[in-house]
Amino acid sequence: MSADGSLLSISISVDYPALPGALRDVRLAIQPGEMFGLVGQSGSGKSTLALAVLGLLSGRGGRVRGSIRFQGQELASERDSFWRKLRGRQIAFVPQSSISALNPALTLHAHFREAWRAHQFGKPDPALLRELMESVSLPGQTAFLERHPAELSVGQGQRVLIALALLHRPALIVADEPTSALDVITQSEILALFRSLNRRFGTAMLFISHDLMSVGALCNRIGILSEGELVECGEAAQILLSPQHEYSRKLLSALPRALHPADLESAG
Amino acid sequence: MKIVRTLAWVLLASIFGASAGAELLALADYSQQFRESPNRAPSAQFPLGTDDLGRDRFSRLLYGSRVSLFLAAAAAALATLIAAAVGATGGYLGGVWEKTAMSGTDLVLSLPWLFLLLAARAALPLNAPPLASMSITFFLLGLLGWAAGARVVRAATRAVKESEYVLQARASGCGPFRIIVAHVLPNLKPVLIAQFWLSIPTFILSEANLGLLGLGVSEPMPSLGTMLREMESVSRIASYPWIVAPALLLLLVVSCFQVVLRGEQRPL
Ligand SMILES: Nc1ncnc2c1ncn2[C@@H]1O[C@H](COP(=O)(O)OP(=O)(O)OP(=O)(O)O)[C@@H](O)[C@H]1O
Ligand SMILES: [Mg+2]
Repeated sequence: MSADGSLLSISISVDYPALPGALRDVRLAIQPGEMFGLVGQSGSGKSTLALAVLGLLSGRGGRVRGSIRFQGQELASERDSFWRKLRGRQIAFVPQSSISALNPALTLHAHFREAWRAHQFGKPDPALLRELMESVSLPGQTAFLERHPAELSVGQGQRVLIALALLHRPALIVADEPTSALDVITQSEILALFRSLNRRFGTAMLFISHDLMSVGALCNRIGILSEGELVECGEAAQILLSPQHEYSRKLLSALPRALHPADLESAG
Repeated sequence: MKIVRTLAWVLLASIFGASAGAELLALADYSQQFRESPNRAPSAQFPLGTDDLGRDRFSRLLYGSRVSLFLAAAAAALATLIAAAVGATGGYLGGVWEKTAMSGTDLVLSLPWLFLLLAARAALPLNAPPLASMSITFFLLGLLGWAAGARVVRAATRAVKESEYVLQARASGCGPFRIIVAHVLPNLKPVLIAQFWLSIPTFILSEANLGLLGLGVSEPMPSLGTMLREMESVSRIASYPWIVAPALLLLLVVSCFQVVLRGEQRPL
C-alpha cells in the first residue's frame, strides 16, 4: 500500500487507557493533491485518527499500533523530535474551533512568528504574510495582524488558522471539522477556499467532518468511520449514490430528504 | 468597596512615595546620633522620638520602609522568576523532570528553615556590612520564597497544557521550550503578577523575622524588621508607646496590599 506513490498511507489501531480499540485496523491512503473526506458520527474516532496522523496522540494518552507512512517514510516508530520536523511544514493541522485554538495572549502576528520559528530562522517576510492573509480573504495589513484572537469573528479565526496551516506550504492538511463551528454561509465560503487552495497549491487534504454534504461537495474520495472502524471507503460519488455498508446507508438516510444525493441526481 | 480600594491604593502609593523620598522628608540622617537626647518622646524636632542611641525614629522609619519595601519587591521578583521557571517546566514537560522539580519544591517547603537559618547565621561574620546583609537577605527571601508559587504555576501550566491552542502550537511543529516561553508563560501573566504582589507583604514580614534571628539588614541601616525588634518587651512599649509605629506601618502596608490584591484577583 505504500510503494504506490501515496502521500500518506496508514494502517493503524489506537488504544486509550480508558478505551482500548478506539480505532481498529483503520487502513486508508491519500494521494498527492487529493481531497479525502472522513465522515463519522460523534465519538467514532475521527479526531483520534487526525491526531495519530500528526503524531500527537501520546500527549492525549493514546497509543498507536501499526504503520503510518508519509512520502514513503515510516513514521509510527519515530521519536517526537522527528515528527516535530514534519508537523506544520509537511503535515499541517486545522482544528475545529478557532476560538480555542488561537492563543488568547498572543497577537495574530505572534502566532505566525512562532509557527515560522518552528521551522525557519528569523521572522516571516511581511510580504509573505500579506499574501497568505489575502489568499484566505483576510486583510493583510499590519494593523489586522496586531489583533488578538478575541478581536476576531469565529469565521475570521478559522481563516487565520487556515493561513497558519499554509505558512510552510505543506503537502498535506489535516482538517478536523474545520467548518462545524460556522454558519452555513461562512461554511460554504471556507469550503470554496479549501477547493481553490487545493487547485492553486496542490495541497492534499484529509477533511474530517460529520457532515456528509460538505464532504461530498469537497472530496474526491470518502471514508466512513463507525465506532473505530472504517466501514466503507471509495469514490465520493459511488458512496453517496450507492452506499454498500449498512452504516453508510443510515448516515445518508439521516440527510434531509430534499438534499439527498440520489434525488438531486435524478432531479438534475 | 471601591472607595476602600482606592484608599488602599492611595495609602500604598504615599507610603512608597514617602520612603522613596526619605531624603526630602527626613529631618535628620538615619544614623546620626544625638547623644545628649536618647529615648526622647515625640517632639517637633523628632516626630517619633529618638532611640537608645539618640537617632531620629521618624527618619529611621522612612529609610527602614524604603529598605524593606525595596528588598521585598526585589526578592519577590526573584522568587516569581524561579517559581515560573520551575513550575512551568515541571507542569509542561511532565515525567521525570516534573517529579524532580516537584520533589525539590516539596523539599524547600518542608525543610526546617529555622534551624538552617540559625546555622547560616552562625556561619556568617558577626557584623556584616549593610550592603552585604541586604544582598544576603535578598537571596534568602528569594531562594526560600519561591516554592509555594511554583506549585501554583505548575497547576496553571497543566491547565494551559491541555488547551487547544497548545495542541495547535504542537501541531505547527513548535518544540517544548518555545511553547513554554511563547505560549504558556504569556497566559500565566495574571498568575505571575498575582504571585509577585502576594509575595511582597509576606517578604516584608519574613525580613522582619530574619531580623529577629539576627539575619536581616544590619546596623546602622534601618529596616522595618530591625525596628520591630525594639518592641521586645511590653514594659518598653508601655513607657515608649510610639515605638509601635513600625508595627503599625507594617500592618497598614500588609492590609493595603490585601485589599488591593483581593480586588485585583480575577477568576482565571
Ligand atoms: N484522551 C482520551 N482518553 C480516553 N478516551 C478518549 C480520549 N479521547 C477520546 N476518547 C474516546 O475515543 C473515542 C473517539 O473520540 P474522538 O474524539 O476521536 O471522536 P470524534 O469522532 O472526533 O468525535 P467528535 O465528532 O465528537 O469530535 C470516543 O469514544 C472518546 O470518548
Ligand atoms: Mg472530534
